[in-house]
Amino acid sequence: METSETGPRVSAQEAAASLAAVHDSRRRARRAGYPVWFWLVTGLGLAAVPLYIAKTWLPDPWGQVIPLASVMLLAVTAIAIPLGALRGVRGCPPTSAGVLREVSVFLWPFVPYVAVLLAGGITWQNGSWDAPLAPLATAAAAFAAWAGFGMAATTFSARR
Amino acid sequence: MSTRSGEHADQVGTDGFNPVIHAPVRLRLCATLDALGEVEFGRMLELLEISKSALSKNVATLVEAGYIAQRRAVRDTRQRLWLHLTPDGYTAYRKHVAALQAIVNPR
Repeated sequence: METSETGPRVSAQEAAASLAAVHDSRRRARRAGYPVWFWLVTGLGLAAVPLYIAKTWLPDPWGQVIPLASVMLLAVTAIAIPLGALRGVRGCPPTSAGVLREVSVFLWPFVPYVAVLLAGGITWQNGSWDAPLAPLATAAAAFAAWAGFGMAATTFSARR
Repeated sequence: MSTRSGEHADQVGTDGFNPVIHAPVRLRLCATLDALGEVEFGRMLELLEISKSALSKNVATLVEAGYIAQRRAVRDTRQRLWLHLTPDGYTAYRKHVAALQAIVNPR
């Protein structure tokens, strides 16, 4: 072991490589930590949202959508915690720099999912929502967007 | 635990550079624990993609330094070993990463 020094112990290149390894480990841990069945189970839950909206749509749609989206987000988070213990991880809030970046890793799968919901909403605005298969199609697309994106991110991260 | 970490204090530079943590596997181990909190030993093997003996050896070094604590708990009806950073470990890891950043981007 080296003795105490005040100057740098390693070159800038080695330090940069070490920092890259740190960032890679953190990113890999965040994404690879979610198994396939996590995406499938939560995807099924989230796929129920367009069905619920179609079933209980009210004159004030945002009054329904915003609380529902909040509940679903909390539900997914709540599901992730006990499932985490089963997969060998007891997660805790991010504890160091880059908090926003790491939270964004968890939020990214919501982007295609929300896009599908919005597309379904636009379809409804155009009058196509009355078709009986429209909510089912939106639900299937929402499931595919959530689970597909999540599993792809997991697979990509695990192979890096 | 603080006594053990104190034994390694003379190895840590005033800039926070920590030769105990700097070893590649130990640095990745600390980064993973920092990101995930508490991780089961078997899961850590998968995340780091190293052998059981290599992980055991590096965990032992960090435990000896007082940077990692181990806890036995049940997972899948079996006793498993769980790893997490100690407060000293968090501090040392953060200071080490800050020291690396200072080396890369000197002011």
